[in-house]
Amino acid sequence: MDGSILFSLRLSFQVALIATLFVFVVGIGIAYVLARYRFFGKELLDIACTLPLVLPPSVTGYYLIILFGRNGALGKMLYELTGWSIMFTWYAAVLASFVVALPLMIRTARAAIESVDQDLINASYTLGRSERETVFKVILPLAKRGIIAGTVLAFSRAMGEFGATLMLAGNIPGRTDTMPLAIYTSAGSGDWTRAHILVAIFTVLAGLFLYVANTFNRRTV
Amino acid sequence: MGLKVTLSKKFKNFTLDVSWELHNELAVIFGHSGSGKSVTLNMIAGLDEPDSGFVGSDNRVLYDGQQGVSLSPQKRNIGYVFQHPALFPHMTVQENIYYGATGLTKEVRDKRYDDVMDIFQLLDLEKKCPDEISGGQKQRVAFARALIRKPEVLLLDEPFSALDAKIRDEMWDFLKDIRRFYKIPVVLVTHDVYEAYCLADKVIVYAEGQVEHVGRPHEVFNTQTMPECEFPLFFSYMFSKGFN
Repeated sequence: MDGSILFSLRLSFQVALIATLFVFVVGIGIAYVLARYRFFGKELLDIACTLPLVLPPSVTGYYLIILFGRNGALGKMLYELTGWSIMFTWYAAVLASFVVALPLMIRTARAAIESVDQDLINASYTLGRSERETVFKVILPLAKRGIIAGTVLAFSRAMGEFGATLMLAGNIPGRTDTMPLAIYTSAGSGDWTRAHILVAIFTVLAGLFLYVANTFNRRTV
Repeated sequence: MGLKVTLSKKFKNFTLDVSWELHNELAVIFGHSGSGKSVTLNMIAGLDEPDSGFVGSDNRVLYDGQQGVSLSPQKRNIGYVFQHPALFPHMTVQENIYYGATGLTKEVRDKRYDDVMDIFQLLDLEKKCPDEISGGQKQRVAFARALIRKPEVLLLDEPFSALDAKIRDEMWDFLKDIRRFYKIPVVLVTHDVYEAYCLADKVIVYAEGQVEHVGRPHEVFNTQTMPECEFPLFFSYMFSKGFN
């Protein structure tokens, strides 16, 4: 197989895996807070976390450039401190994938956490168990299937991320060209054999992920 | 051992405003649905916060609205058995009971575990999951789990209402054993007249968030104080005996 195909495949997995790791931790945290607490600004947090799901990826990418670009609010600070910018690196692809995949995890995990019987949580508290113990020993194990489904969906979305990645990481062959970007380049330059192979691999993988996500989600919902 | 309760809270549909005291005895809070019985238990356990009031157990203040004291449910050391047994479905019977043994050394935990397994006759079930055992067995596990920590007070929110009459009778016997072994105040919520009559040392009748009567069962359940009680009491009794 063409070395550049293998590179794109490896990079896509690398980006999606790391992004999913962050999505897992941050997503479960936000899902728990949204599911269990009432506080001022909750609706706003919910909307802000869900926006990347409905916004065109180019708009999400644009916001990320405003935030993390060399002259962006956070990017400028980072550049002045370290002389490094995330723009046009594979880290930017991780950031874009993270932001776009996060809402899928939050929504699925939140529904799973909300479905845990309140009596079980109350029982745990009256048995002397702290909130932290209750989360790790009761709530998360019982919301496990929804969390796994959310993780698989987030991973699939991260693998397929295109628009925001293109804006933030660019499409640099051998550096930031993940599979969706490589497919775009191949089709644009008329390299149909390469495009066919990439598309076939991607379709099989996406189908597999969806099957796994559905299997877990069906048992949860 | 004793329990002192004064609670006040305004809800959308009614206002809870109750005050009662209990020594080492079994009190039944009796009343219709929506009269504030379960809310009272939740407030004693610290799962719900009153607007004002006082909850004290054995000279320990659990809640004092005036002093701004409100212990978390974890620190109240109150055993609570819910209407549905609320067993953790991903844990075995043994793991469920161990889960209640917070703050105990392994030796103490194992000794108390053996005690509750014996009292509630659960020895054959310890490796089973909750979905593999019957309703009565589940409720026995819930009792064992609530009692392994030796709580200061035991709260029971209609724990027998979902059981058939034969199993319910068995559970009443277990409740008598619990009282003999643990010697702690027990508060049982029910809307079953016969259950209240048979089990209570003291009956606290709730109506629309207020205490309507307090007294011994024979004082409360008579047709002078509660004209509506004669018929349900007779019927509950007959049902429980299967009209034999």
